[in-house]
Amino acid sequence: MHYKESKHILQSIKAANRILLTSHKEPDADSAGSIIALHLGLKRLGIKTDLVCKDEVPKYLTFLPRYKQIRKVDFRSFNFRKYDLIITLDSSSWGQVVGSELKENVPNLPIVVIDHHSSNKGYGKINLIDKSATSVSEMIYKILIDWSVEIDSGIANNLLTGITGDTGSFRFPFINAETFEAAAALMKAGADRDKIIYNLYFSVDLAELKYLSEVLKAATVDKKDKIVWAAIPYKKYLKLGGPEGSGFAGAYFQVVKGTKIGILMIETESQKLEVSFRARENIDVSKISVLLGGGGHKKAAGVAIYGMKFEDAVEKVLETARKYAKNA
Amino acid sequence: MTYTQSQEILDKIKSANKILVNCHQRPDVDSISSALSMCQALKQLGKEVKVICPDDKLPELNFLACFGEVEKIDYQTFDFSLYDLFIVLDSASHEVVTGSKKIPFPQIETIVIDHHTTSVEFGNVNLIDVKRSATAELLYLLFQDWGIETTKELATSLLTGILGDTGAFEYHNTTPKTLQIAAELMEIGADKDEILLKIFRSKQMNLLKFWAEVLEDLKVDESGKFTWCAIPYKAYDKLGKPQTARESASSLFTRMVAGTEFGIVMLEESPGELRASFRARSTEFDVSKIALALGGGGHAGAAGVMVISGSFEDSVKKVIETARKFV
Repeated sequence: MHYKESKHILQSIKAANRILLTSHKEPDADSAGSIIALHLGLKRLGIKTDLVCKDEVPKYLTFLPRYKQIRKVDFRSFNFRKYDLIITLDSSSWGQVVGSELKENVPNLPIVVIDHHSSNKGYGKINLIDKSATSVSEMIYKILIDWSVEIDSGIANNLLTGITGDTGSFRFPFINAETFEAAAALMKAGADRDKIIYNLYFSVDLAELKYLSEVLKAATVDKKDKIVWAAIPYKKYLKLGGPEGSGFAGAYFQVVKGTKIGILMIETESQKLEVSFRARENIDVSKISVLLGGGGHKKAAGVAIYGMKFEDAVEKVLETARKYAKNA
Repeated sequence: MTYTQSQEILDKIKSANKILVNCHQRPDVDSISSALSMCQALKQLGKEVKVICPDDKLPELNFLACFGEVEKIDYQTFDFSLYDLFIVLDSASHEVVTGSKKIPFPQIETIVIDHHTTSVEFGNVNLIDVKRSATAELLYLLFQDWGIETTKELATSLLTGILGDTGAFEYHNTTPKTLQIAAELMEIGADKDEILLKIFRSKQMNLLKFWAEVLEDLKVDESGKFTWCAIPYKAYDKLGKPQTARESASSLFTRMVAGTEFGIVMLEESPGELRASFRARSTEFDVSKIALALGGGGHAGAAGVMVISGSFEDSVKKVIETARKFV
């Protein structure tokens, strides 16, 4: 047994008549992959579940087997009374599932919470929270094995997509040998790793690469404070067609020798500066983000600064980062 | 036993006293990591080892055991008669070993161990396993056959080679076996995060500026099937000729664009000499065929052509026209 809770969870599922399965809003590879895999795994046990999410599955995940099973719903008018059990995956709070405006409206139903976020306080009747798991998909893999469910290729492709997404294709820190073993087993069960990588990372538009070119041209190294940074004003951002993918540009601010902190600042609306922080070495960039009113993880964090002139906002971010770098 | 040749190779090693191991020309991470892994294994077997290379080694790999043993040599003047055996790793043909077609391969008993599909098997004994992601992955299996103890240092060297040749588990060559071996090496104590910091996150700023040039020039070919860019010598020189410029840019960017099958980065590395890197985006496309047609070689997913002489414009035209024949 990987988890002592596995048995209890299965008992609750078997005792229920109608089961609702859901994950956090704005679904990503791990949340979508893990709920579809759990749905398919339970189906193999003859148990039906309804999959719902506050937002639509993003286009880049529409290669996932059975992604259409996830129905976008409006939780303001959603009828929970049809169900007698709710399972939430990858959602650190009820607000993550339904949106912050509805976070207090927790339905009066038993909830099973399966998650890996350290901030999860356990809002369910059964809470399986494994903070050391690098993805919820890896947790579902272990739970399905605990339940003796055969992993078919549909389940395997969904789970490996979740693992790949939440581990940056195994490159993020703190991934242990267990994750590699799970991934190897999923590939053997039919998961097409190349197809997953292809869809998650290699399906960008040329325009996004042109945008990255501009970002790299603007990059400057501040040797004294060991910071590499770039700032793109709104005018330039508009000229580049306002591409969405600033997410992948952030990774290039984590690779410069002699630096500790990477900062990418993009003015995505007039007087709205979106800031991404990246840590290259052992430094906690979420602390800088928090000083500016944002949040995030040790290695990657972010904040949006509103209502300031571009130059002033950039200076404020740099000053805060420099001050932190000096004392860190 | 994974390999039928394992015992024969071990016997040859046991009967030799002084052994040479190579890093290929312009060595990459797998070439150096594999050579250093072999060096450590041979020392465990009580042998005297020297690692030779026709070019400079990558300084960022100085955390690997035996790094100090690598010596840059000239294949035309080096005295091979002082050695009994030459173990050639990760090198598909003899010019990749010596650095040039013009420099002949030395007269010495040679064992070739490689994973390239284009290997011409030029050794007295050849162990070629094209299913392995990296020569380091192949060596892990070979060392198991030999009963070599995987120390923490050896595990680190082997995992470094695997991370290098798989682009940290991103390229098509990553198999379940690769992931299992990586897991075992990590359990022995190889620190994946530290290795990644050293090999993928220790770039010079001028390399990032080179990437910016590549991205600015990158276009989708009129055939719609591939992306390409060509950087002239002047621009390369102006940026201070960053190390691994062409290889890194092609691995990072030419496979990204939706709808394409492969990508090419061309770089005029010295005046009148163009080099090209090919990367496949889809697993169905084999870029080594284009490289072969131009006199180069490599893998289905990643291949290259060393030198195309002539004017920049002519050489670029030659590469593009050849590539179009394969789409």
